[in-house]
Amino acid sequence: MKTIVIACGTGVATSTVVVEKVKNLLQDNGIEANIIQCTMNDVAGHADHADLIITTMHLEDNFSKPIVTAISFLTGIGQEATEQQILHHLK
Amino acid sequence: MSQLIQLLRPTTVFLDLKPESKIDLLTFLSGQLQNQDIVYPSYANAVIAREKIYPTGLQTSVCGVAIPHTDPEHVKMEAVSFASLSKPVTFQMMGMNDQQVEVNLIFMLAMKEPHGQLEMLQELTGLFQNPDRLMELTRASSVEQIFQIIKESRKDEAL
Repeated sequence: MKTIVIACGTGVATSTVVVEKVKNLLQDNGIEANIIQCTMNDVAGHADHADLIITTMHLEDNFSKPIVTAISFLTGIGQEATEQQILHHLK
Repeated sequence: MSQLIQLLRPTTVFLDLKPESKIDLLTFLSGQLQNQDIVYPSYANAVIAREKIYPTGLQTSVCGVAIPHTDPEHVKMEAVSFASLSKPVTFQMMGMNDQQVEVNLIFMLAMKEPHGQLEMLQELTGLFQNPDRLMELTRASSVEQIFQIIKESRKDEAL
């Protein structure tokens, strides 16, 4: 099973919205994945076993893992493109 | 019942503010929450520091919004503060390295639990995707109107 790390600054606010959207997206596409919600500071600790990192904050690309920025899940602008990006990385 | 409405209080809604700067605005709103015993005195500096590292400005189709917040340890009880600005202030945009957005509407969050406020957060993002209600919020001239618009926004979602 794939592991997705979903992070925001505090690990309590915007990542919560993103987790819910990603869960629905996975369900709609019949994908099972393990989701870890954490703070940006904790991404480093989870990155090794992540297949995909999704954030609402800018993350320096130091992890050799695919990173998707999911601001569109908050504003709705460009949401479909973000969903396609996520699905692409989970194939 | 709308979670957002429950967390928003008439005493945490501020209309037509004209802050000199983002710091000025965040200090004012934090001070109001502190006076109402919603956050600890450490909240103000924590929210300002966090905004620098993890900015919360968002560009919607209508206007700039921001959702400043910080770590749960600075929060006594969960609440949301709303402010409309008659003079927009510049925030850094969330998720971007160095892009800016002129912000007219602020939702400052005092949050304690992960997952605890999913419904409120979904209502907020629903509102950010609702151009008519956002426009109404920028024009509202009373606290009652703000509550009414947010209630209507939730009804729009349910349709």
